[in-house]
Amino acid sequence: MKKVDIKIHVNGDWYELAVDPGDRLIDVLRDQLDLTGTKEGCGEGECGACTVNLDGQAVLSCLILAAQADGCKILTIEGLQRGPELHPMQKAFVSESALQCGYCTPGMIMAAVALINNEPEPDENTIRKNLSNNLCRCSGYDRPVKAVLKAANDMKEDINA
Amino acid sequence: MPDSHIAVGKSLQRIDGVDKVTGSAKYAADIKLVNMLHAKLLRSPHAHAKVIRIDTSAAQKLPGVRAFATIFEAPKVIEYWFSLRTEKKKKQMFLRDNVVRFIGDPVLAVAADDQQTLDKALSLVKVEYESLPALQDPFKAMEETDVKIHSRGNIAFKVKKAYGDIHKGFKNADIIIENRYRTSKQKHAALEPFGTCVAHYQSNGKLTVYSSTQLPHWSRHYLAGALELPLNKVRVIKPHTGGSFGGRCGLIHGLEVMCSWLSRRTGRPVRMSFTREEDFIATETRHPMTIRMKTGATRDGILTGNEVKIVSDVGGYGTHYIGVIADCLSTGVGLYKIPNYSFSATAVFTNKSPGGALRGYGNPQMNFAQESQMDIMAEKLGIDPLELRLKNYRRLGEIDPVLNEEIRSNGLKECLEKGAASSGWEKKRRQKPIKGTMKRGIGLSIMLHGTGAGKALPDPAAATVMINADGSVNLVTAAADEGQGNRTVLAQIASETLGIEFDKISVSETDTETTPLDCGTHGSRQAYCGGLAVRAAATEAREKLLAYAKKELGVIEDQLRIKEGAIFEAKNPDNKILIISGRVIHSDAP
Repeated sequence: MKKVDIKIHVNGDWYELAVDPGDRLIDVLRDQLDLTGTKEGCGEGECGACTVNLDGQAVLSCLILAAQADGCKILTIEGLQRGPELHPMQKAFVSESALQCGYCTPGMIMAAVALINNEPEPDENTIRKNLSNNLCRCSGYDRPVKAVLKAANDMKEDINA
Repeated sequence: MPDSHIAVGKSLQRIDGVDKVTGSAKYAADIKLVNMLHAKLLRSPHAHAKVIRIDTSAAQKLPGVRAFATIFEAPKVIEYWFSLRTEKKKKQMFLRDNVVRFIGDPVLAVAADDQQTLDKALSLVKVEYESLPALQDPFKAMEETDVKIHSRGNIAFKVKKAYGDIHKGFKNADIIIENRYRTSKQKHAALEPFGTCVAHYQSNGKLTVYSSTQLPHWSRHYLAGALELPLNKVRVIKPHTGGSFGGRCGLIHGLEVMCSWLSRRTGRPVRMSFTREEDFIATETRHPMTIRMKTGATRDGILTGNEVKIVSDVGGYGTHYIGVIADCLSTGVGLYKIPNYSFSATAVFTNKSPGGALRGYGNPQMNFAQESQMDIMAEKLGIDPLELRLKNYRRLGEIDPVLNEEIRSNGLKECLEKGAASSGWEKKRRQKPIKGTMKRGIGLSIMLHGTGAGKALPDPAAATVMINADGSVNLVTAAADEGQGNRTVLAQIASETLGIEFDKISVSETDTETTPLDCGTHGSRQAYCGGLAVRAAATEAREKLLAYAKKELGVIEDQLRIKEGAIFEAKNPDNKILIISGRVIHSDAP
């Protein structure tokens, strides 16, 4: 099959890649760029585990073809931290124990990061609505909501400081 | 022991938290080995059929196709724990035949350079089947003698247990009720689909398998048996796992064995990953059951007899079917003090996806029936459901007839009374039913559940505690963490027992090569069984260390503390010894 040449900006760097027309964004991230932090849970847009940010919005990387992302700016879980320093959202997920098996965690964090970028002070309902596409089977939704509230607050204080 | 808790009972950060929020925690599908091949299964479209012929000639010619493994050669692991006890039974664990027993049963596996080649190769494989009548209903399957799903027939297991005299139980009853309960098939649907592993068989005869198993050491047993390798030549490494809920209690049907077979054939690492759909159609589920229950009681609500007849739908292959029924027995009979109890169960093969372990392991089915029965009985007798339970539950000091053990702790009465008070039970139960379609109600049920396998199986736990020169600690354990956090819990127990700070404890990878035998993470056992092993190891390590320090410092063990690589006298911290030096540093030392 004829490859498609694309140029995507991932976690701060531009990549020129040759992809199959049928390659999904998640395949390219995981298989070509070794960014395996993005997880596949269902492959059909139901579970949200593969959520990444594309041009600042939360998207499901299993439902987007890599070729569609040509020219776009993509942020994955690996691109959040600055050196060894965790992003406030990552810190909050750890400190609030907002994870168990951790398989939904990268997707949930990326959905939350996109939310905060677009709406820096979300209320609990907004958080719940925005995370409703991210399934957790270990049974924990309350703690992620608390973590997002905490991260939003910490980021606000950061800016004020 | 330290004066106050330093780790147990504290809200501490999970030891795997940072790995999981940064995406660096590796799950099975994230593992890439050099020169790795990819593998996929060809699954049966028939519920019941004989595989007559497999033609791979066209697929073999495809560039990038490396190897095949077929149903004719790679065995299925069809029995678990209970069969490990005898040589004869152990042999029955591994089935090599040409029959497919449910839609999705693996027929062949192919290894190739990439995913696209796999799909193409599978489309070129031709399989000739001889269709057999399929049995879906366990009641029909248990009567059927012409169509046999397994050579030994369709009845996988049958058991009858009697406690007291059931006829007497019903004779003494003022009221007898009889009902039938049915439970459905249920999937774990862990967020990480069941069915990813990486197998690497090397020329030196050693097989390494990365598998998200709850039972790394048992998985090693099963794999060694299936591939006829000595145990020391099989290494199972459990990476991070995206939830299990019982469904990874052993091998995944067709996964590790087929994948290892392909690796042995090619000498290259091979990864196989099931899709979510494959997880749903072809990995284990909760056993659906039909439970007939006949219960007798006196007018004032004392239970006199209970007769239980279970038919359990095993599906095409059985792994946990005996254990699941054993759990129905122990959790059912154990809960109430019913003097006359008759329990019989039949586990039946059908041409459906395999039944297996799922949280509760037989208890949910049995408990649903028994507790529904209690509510119906309470209504018939005009007794409050809470009162009926309080009248009949098995009390402290009584003997559990199944385990033949005395009940040595029991907070049920207190729990029920507190629950009733805080929920406003009495007031709410007196309320008249709400009119209209939307209704609101209040109910209760109680449950007895075990930890670990009890006496049913060898259920060992083990741990090694290594105290380093700087006072930090390596805890080595095979306790598999499926996400519930038991590695963190075990580190807390080690910290607490040693008196060494929690952040100084690290926990080993879960690897059968480097960890002592552990029966795995099942039946909510790790905090308790694994925890006791960690406590025992940590106690011994602490005692050894303090005995040495006592001699050097001239202070008895009770007066000694361990902190930041030093052992010191609690009342006189300057009287200390560094773990690294083994020499006493006196208070006047530089």
